[in-house]
Amino acid sequence: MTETESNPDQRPTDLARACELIAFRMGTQEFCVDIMSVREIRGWTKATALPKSPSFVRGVVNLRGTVLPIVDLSARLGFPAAEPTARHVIILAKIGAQTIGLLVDAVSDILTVTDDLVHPTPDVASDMAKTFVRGVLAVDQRMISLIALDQVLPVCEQDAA
Amino acid sequence: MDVVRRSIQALGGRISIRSKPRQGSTFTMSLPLTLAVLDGMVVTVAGETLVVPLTAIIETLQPKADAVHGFGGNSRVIAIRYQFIPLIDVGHELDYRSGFADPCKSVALLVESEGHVRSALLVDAILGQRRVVIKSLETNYQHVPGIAAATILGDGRVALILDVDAVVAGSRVAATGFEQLCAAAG
Repeated sequence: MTETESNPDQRPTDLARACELIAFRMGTQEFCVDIMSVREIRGWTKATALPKSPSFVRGVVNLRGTVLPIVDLSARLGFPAAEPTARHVIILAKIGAQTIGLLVDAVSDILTVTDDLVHPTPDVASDMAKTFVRGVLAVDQRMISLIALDQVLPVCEQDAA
Repeated sequence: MDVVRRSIQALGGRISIRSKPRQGSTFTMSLPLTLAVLDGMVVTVAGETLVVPLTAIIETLQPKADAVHGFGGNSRVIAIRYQFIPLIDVGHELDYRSGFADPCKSVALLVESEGHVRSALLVDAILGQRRVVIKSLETNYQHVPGIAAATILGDGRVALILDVDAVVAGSRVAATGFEQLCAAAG
């Protein structure tokens, strides 16, 4: 069985049932993603800028011979863009058939969750909340937003194939 | 062996095996040449390293101040052997810089693109000539205007491969728009 067949496109409802999530921090807020979509976690390396790209696409980097785009997840979610330093982290995530790198401040821990730990998204007037957040976790008095990655890359060109 | 087959298919190639008992096996691999390697000229533009396909380049030259003429708004042409060739500032076309480069401190690449159209691409400097392996940007990202693909240089950094036809076409569209504005303004 090939890798792509064993990991179908994740529908939002499936994320709540994911067993393990990787929690990371951007600015003062915490987020988590399904661990099954994370391929690797790396340190920051300088990216080659792409012309005429959205500002949240920092460029491309070389990962063992493959060219991957790096998306500044802070900027994509609507926060101020991050100024990457050696202490920032890149999470390599598989979205559909593509692998992209997400620039975040730091990865904190791996959470094992069950359905009852995930609360519905608070109803606020935030584009980020509506587009990306699929639920909220309360862990140790921290609020960790569960995000789905399928909207991270600009949508228009993705269905070309 | 399955890894080899999948890798070759991912590149758009084919592999087949012919086997004769007690005589041996023949593996035949076909790879599309154009997807694999490219002879390119490595240049710098506004601090970025780009690769320009050698097949598009006719010659390189150092523009002299008296050979460069302004023409219609922000466009410039360069006189090369009694012909006026449009001068395209690659750094400006790709939005690497907002201003325009000084032709006398730059290098011009005389290129021929689709339809035997000649243009002069202005870059900061030429670093050398290299045969590079083409890496697709569409695999993990999407098409980028003006860029054909990417490659990985010897130091591990990614360099973008210029799509000469697209850059030349793009420079002409912008100029047309400006002239239409002038015509509309009277």
